[in-house]
Order: sequence, then structure tokens, then C-alpha cells
Amino acid sequence: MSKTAAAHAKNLPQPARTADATRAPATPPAGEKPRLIRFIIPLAAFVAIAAVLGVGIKNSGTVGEIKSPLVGKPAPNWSLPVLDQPGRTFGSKELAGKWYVLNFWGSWCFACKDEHQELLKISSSSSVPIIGVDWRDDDGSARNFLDTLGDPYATVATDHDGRVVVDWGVYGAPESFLVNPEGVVVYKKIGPITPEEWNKNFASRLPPGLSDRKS
Amino acid sequence: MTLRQARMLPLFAALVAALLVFGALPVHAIDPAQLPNPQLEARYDTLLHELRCPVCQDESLADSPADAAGEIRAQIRRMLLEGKTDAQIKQYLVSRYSEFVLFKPKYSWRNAWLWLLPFFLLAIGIVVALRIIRARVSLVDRDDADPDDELAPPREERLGQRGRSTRDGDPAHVSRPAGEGAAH
Repeated sequence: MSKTAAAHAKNLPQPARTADATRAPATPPAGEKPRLIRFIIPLAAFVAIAAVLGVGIKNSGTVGEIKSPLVGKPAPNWSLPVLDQPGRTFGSKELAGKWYVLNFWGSWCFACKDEHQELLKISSSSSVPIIGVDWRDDDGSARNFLDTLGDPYATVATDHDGRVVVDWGVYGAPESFLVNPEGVVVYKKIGPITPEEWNKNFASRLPPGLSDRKS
Repeated sequence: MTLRQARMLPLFAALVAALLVFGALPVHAIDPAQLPNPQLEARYDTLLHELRCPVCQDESLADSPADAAGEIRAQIRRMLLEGKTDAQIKQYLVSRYSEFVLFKPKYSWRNAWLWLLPFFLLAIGIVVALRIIRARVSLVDRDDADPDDELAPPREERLGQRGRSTRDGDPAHVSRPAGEGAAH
């Protein structure tokens, strides 16, 4: 439409053309600033969105993994029946002043079977006690699991109604916590412990006497 | 009643019976609450709908069939029976499972952007919409100037007005900034 309007403008009397002609040279200097803004605004918007998404991606970790708010905080007190001696209880009181790994597992859990080999290796190569919490399981299948695959645990406690599980913010198996002698949760791993995971995040936090091989 | 209607009657009765039996089941059928009074049950039900299951992460604790959700529900029931307030129960679960479990995030400085972003985006949207509307309005102005339109005012008069200050009583030109016509 503006093209035809311009074409028609040629036929118009003089005043119209001079009005256009005088305005034309005045616009480019004024037009440069908006062009700069038009470039800067989308760029700024892009940078802002990229920053927000970047921070989100960086903090999200593995998809579906919830960062434990317990890390850096005192571990919840717990006390549970021992698998082999159901009359006896075991828990944070007995472990006070010690480094320990608390591993939540169950004989129903496939990933725990994968992890089991690594736990056996760890238990033979380092002297930090691995405490198992057998969760949502019956004692018979738990014993059977340990009899066939080997027992890496210093002690296995049983949590039948899931109280301790909820208190530790556990929502799957296996999940493992590293607790220091002050009773503070130092690290939490969701999913099986692999050799790399052990060296990088568990052994590195333990004092040399515990992460090293037993003499 | 026709014979056909009479034949439908047992079917209808069966339907009504089924509705009476199954319709009376509690809303949270996953694990019927074992709570002693309706007030506690109501609070339990509300809490379950406000809290998110850590396993099936888009479902509430009320809807999730995951075992871990059942264990958390049991813990909520225990805490309700101990006389804990809703706020204490939520605080407890946040301290164990992080703020992730709250479907409605808390208002805090860290979360401020989450709450303010919609208003910010709305403001941007309004600004963009206004700009588009203004640009369209000025296009309509130019269309008026179609010289084939015998009824339009003489073009030289219209063009002569551009770039000058607006003239009184000429609504088409009131809001146009000086010189804007040349940008198109």
C-alpha cells in the first residue's frame, strides 16, 4: 500500500514532496538509536534466559534426583532391630563418634544387587563400617540375599514400617549416607555406589586410616 | 411400562447397587486413613494433596501408588495423631525431602523470581501489544490516504500536517509523534 501511495505522491502538488524530502535526511541519525536498542533488547533477553536455564541445569543434577537437605546437618537419630538378633536394637547411639556409611537396601531392589559387589570390595579394602538398613523387606529374603551374595555389612538393621527411611528422606534404594564422628551427614549418594563414586565422594572424605586397606 | 423397559429394570438396579457400594468408598482409596476423627481426616486429605511424591514426581502423595509415598503417608498419620500442626508436618518433610515436596513453593528471596516472573512477562506482553497496536493504527492512517478514495481529504493537506505539531480538532493526528510517518 505504501508503494502505491508513494507512486501516487509523484502526481501530487509540490508541498507534499517537499514535506517528504525535508524529513528524509532527518531520520537516519534518529533511526540509528532504535536499531541499536532493537539489537540489544533481544540479546539481553537471550542472555537472561540462558543464564536462568543454565543455573537451573547446573543445579538440577541427575533428572529426578532430589538433593538431600540433610547433607551438612546432624543425622537423624535412629534405632532399629538387628536382622540377625531381632531382640537387639542398633542405631545412632551405638555409632556415636564413628565414621560410618548407612546404606538403605532391600532384597527386592535390583540396583542393590549391582551395588552389592562394590560394597563387598569396599568392606574388604577399607575399615569404615557399612551399616545396612534393610527396608520394606521380610527378614527371610534379606538373610537369603546376604547368604547367597555375601555380607558386606558390619550390622544390618531392619526398617519394616519405613519410619527411619522417611526420617532420612530416602525414597528409593539403594541410597547411601556418609556420617562423620560428630554425627553430621557429610554426603549422600542416590543410586548404586560405583568404584569411581566411592573414590571420588566417599574415600576422599574419610580420614586415611579408614579409607585405606586394612593392614 | 413396556416389556422392554421391564427387562432393563434388573440392569438398572444393578447399576444403582454398584454406585451405592463403590461410590461410598473414601476419596483417598490408596490407603484408607485410619484416623479417629473427621477433622484429622480432612487435614490429612488436604496435606496429601499439597505434598508431592518424591518418587513419581508429578503426583501428589494422595495420588501416588509408590511404596515410598505410602511410607510418607504413614508418617503424616503418625504426626497428626501426635498432635503436630500442618505447618510442623510440612516443615518436617521439607527438612527430609527438601522443598521439592511442596507443590506450592514458599515465598522467599530465593524463590522471588518464580513469583514475580509472571507479572514481569505480563508487563513485557502489554508493552509489545501496545507497540503493535500503535503501529497498526498508524498503518490505518496511511490507508486512509488512498488517493482512489474520492471522499478522503486532499492528500497535500494531510501530508502537510505531518511533522508539524498536531492541529486542534483533528483526532486522527492527535497521538502521532512528530516525524513517525517516515519510519515506515
